Amino acid sequence: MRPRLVPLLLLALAVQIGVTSDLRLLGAVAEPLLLVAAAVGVLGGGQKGAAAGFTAGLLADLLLHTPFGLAALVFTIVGFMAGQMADLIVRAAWWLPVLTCAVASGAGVLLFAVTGATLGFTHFVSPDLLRIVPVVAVLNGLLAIGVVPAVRWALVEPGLARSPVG
Amino acid sequence: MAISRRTGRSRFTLVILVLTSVTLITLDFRGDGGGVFDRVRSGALEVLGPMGDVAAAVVSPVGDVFGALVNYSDLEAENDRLRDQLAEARGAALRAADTERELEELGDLLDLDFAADIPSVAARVVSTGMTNFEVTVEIDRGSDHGVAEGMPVVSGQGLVGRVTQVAPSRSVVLLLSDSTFNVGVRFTGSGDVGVAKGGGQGEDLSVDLVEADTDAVKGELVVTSGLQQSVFPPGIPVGTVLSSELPPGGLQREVSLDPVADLRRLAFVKVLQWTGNR
Repeated sequence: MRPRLVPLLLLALAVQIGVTSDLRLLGAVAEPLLLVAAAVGVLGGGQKGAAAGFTAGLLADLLLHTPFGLAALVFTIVGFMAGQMADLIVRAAWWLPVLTCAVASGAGVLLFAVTGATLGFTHFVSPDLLRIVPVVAVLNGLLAIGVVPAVRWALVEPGLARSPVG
Repeated sequence: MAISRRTGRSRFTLVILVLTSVTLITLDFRGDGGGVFDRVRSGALEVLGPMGDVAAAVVSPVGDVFGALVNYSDLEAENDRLRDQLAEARGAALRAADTERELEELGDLLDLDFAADIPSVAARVVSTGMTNFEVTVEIDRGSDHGVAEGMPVVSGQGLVGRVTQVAPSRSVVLLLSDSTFNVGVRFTGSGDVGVAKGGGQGEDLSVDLVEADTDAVKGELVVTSGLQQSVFPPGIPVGTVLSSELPPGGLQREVSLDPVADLRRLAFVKVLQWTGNR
């Protein structure tokens, strides 16, 4: 994993604990850690996305009350799948990575709920998901406007003038 | 060729990380970690909590703008209330009005007319839960102050929730609106009992196991029953009856409650150091 991703992940964690958790839209909150995992996948490919997702998920697991490793599992898959989705993008428009991050975030929340339900947290799958998934996608999409350039910066190898990605 | 090698590496990484995650989940589920995960989470709560406070302080101006946008209707109502307060205080500053409200809340806490004989720890709510699937808040008191897992948490109005995670100087409180929260309750009018359950963020509580002939009147106060095996002492206000219906052919009444504690505006709470009935 790129060294610059470490402070970015820690920043996402701090923002998730101290900032976004207090800002609810229709009862749902943004997921900055999930967003960073998705953004790394989109800009750096499936392998980097999976690794960043696993790390981000472990950080999220520290603060959840679900089985340890559940967020790591879901974020890993989201990071990888975001990389696969990005491979399908042929047109280079600034908003495509942002849109992909938004879709991947919504899918990640849905996957977290379904996986949690299979592990006994059956209340995760409820009609509320119809509200939570699109709200998280929208909030993370808005955050992605700032996070995507930050991840693009983080994926540059220190010392290199140009990014090999994005 | 290079692309297929890269794809192969990606898939190999994915499989390894998925297997590692599944192993962690299995270890936590089976308790094979010997409480390691609980200790790690407790340590993380202690270290990362203050980190979140710093982030909140730094980003609060941005957050205020966002909060104003997403909570516009709530803010309008609050503005009306604050305007009234402002008029009463004849030009007192906005921050002073807010501080006054917090002081009032603290005063209520110090003068609880329920659970008065149970030792307690006053705490400040420092943040709300960070996920979309749990309704929790974090408080600034932990095991160093006598807080333990399972202890009931109240505000000046009534029941707020129970402690689910404890670090030396911080704790996490599961609010009674969480879908997994259950509490035995008693209707103050009839004395009949039931089990109140959370309905999720911002939703009403529902009461199960209520006899069909129970006379639950709209506005009636419902308190904790404190029956045997209950994790809550008796007599703590939980909510007031919003609706009560007997479905056609039903054996149990369907009752919904409005929580008496304002769970969206918690500033101070009290942890009751109560471990009875367990």
